Amino acid sequence: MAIDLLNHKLDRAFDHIDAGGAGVVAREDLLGLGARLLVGFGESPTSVTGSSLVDSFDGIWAALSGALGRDSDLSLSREDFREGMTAAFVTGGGYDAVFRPAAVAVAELCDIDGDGHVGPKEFRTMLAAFGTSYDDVDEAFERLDRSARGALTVEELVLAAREYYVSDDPNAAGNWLYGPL
Amino acid sequence: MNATGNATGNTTGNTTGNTTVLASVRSALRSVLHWKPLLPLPRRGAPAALALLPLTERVPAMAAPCRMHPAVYAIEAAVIDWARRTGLRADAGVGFHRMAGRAFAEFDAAAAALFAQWLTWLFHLDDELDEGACRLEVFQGMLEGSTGHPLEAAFADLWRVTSSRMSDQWRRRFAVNLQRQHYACRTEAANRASGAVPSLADYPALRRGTVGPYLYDLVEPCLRVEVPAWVHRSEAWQELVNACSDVTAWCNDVASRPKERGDAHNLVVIAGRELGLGEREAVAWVLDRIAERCRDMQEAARRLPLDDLGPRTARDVSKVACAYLAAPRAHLDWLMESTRYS
Repeated sequence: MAIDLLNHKLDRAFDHIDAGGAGVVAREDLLGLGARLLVGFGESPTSVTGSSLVDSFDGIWAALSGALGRDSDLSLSREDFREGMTAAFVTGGGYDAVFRPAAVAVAELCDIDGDGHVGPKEFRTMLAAFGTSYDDVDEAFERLDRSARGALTVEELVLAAREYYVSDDPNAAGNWLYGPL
Repeated sequence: MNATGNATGNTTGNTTGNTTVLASVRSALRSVLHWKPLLPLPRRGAPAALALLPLTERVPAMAAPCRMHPAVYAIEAAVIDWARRTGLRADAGVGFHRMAGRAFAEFDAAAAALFAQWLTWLFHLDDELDEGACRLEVFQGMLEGSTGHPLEAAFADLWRVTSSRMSDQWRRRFAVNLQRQHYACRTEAANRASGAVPSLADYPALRRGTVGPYLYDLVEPCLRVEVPAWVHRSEAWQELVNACSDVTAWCNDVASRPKERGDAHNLVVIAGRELGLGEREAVAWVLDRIAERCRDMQEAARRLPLDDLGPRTARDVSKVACAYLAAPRAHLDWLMESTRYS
């Protein structure tokens, strides 16, 4: 069922944040994912790209907590996370205003030379931060690179993120954003 | 000592390892306290810091202002409260709570508060030595838990909280870095006494010592993480820390440059002498070196062996690395603020 697909993807997203396997995630865990992304690219949190990433990740957390009516200092369980993400970004209208900026920030982080494209090496650096296993990265890239150009545009990566976090279409290429589901 | 170097509070456990580390730290602290300055404070009210502003346009890593911790007033209150509790004079003028509030903006207020307390302790230590009132004997019992003098009580409090979170390896690293500062300050004092001027080639390493390398070690206990020893020893990590230290120290040199060429232990002064540059040109030359070191920081961070770490450790190490990457702008924002509020 479609809702099972989305829940499965949101569970995987929870695991991206819960690097230690604690079963709960807090704001600093999401920002820790942000830190891991930044350091992988040698980017400072005080560059334009870096501060945009940090601000947008913080915005996601605020929206998540807000959707659940929780204080942002509190930890969220896997169920809370799924519920909050759905309410804030899937059924709620917050994706474009809050989540998309984070997807743009990460995609621009990967676009090291600023030419609007993300190559396989940068894509691998990004996925390593999320915890995708080494062997799954190439296939993920090929699935997203639908025109087989050997590079993704920043916009394609941003679109893939939307498909991953919001779409219940089992055929959406964005389902492969972090490797096989 | 726990064989795995686990960071447990081991105040009553195996004392042999702990005693050795404490003795090293005590000995190093005693040595260091002969010398000053301990803290790279800019001269208050100096417009010299304004010369650093072009860096925000030239250096991508310094382009965006640091966020301020949302609980900065709570951090300030925690520092004042701690100072009062340990008998130190509370001094909000320097604004270390704001430096820490920027460096630890993404973390909990307790992390920023602890770092601000350490900076405050160093400030008061430096102050005491400046006034000549502080004699070395004050610190003899410091690490044994003496609390007679406010500085002793403050240190004992900070060391208890900080070291209990960390392994013996980290404590030894802290002690070694105290010793590094001692050697560097001793060299600096000998230079001043003899009129010797460090060369451009020698100055960076000397300055890394005088600035207090253990300040960089303090990031880990504040964040309640510990960088694995093999990562800490890696070329990439050492370069990241050294480059961060150079950038902040050289920015401080620009902000603190003397009006006359008095003190030779300043990169602007040394560059001027060795390269035959006027002050404006020397400042420009130093800004070029700062920009280069910022690029070195970026390259070093990219080389960190994060893929060889488990996911949780990779995140922990990344948090510390991010604090170093943000430090140049956090320090710059604080220097600018100091010129406005002093």
